[in-house]
Amino acid sequence: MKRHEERAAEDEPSLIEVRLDELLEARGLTLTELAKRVDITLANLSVLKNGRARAVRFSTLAAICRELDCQPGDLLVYTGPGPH
Amino acid sequence: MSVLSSGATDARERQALAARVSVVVLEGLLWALLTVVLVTNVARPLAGDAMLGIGEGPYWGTTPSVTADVSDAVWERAFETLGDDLPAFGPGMMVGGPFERGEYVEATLPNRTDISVWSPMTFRQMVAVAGAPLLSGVVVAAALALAIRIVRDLRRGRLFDAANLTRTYQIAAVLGVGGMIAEVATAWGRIGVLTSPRLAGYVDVDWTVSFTPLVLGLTIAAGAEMLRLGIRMQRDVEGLV
Repeated sequence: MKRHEERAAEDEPSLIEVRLDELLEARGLTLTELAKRVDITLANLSVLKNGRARAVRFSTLAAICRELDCQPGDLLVYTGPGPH
Repeated sequence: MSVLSSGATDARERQALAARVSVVVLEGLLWALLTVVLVTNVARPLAGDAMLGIGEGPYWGTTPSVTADVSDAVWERAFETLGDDLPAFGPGMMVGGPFERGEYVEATLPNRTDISVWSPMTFRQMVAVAGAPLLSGVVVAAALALAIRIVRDLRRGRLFDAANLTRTYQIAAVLGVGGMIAEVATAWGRIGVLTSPRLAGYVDVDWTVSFTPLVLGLTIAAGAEMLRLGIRMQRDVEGLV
């Protein structure tokens, strides 16, 4: 892939929506508290919450699901074309 | 948060602090080295008698010179003149004895001599006594300045980017090409001084061209390729949580 095509791919909006806000509100947790519990930086968690993350480690996903008592499908939703 | 993960976080924070401190120390050392090079290998040749001639005192105003080995013909004449006292000042180990412990000392005549070059001098002579050292100093100073830019980016956590890749290649080119030009210029100038008709027969005309700058430049270029790989890996993990 050429460099300008790579840059274009990086700038495309993600088709995976992260519903961290709703889950935090439902569980009565703040982002700061969750960051401490799952042991990742607040900056990285904010990147995830705002949809700017390009990849999520399974370990991070498992830790968030553990603390929010949810499934990955509750946290990550595909919003691209195709039957949902 | 568990006690174990708290401990792991503290360890990571300590490691991060140690890394920041070591980068600051590294930048400080590079600045100090750059200052030394600018004074000794740039300002000093410039201020010396061979170039601007504004230097004064034993450090700034030293007589431009190159070193050379005294020729065999000179030694033969010295042996004829001074006989058994050579190659030592005073009684050598061939005279006297038996010796006690601690008396096995001998002052020998040096084989190396300084060839002083005074103005007005030719361009080739100027290259030998000042131009080549100045060029070497400029090459090293340029490489250090580029290295300082890279380390400053490292302090900001931005090592793996295209600008630093370019700077690394520039360091490789400056040291490899500039260094070899300085080596060749040094040898060329040196031959020019030592083949002076007034020195004919008194000193050996010897010279050398080291390929160390070229090897160093190629090694750094290889390092730049590793940096390129690092840039690609960084791009892959950017935005990874």
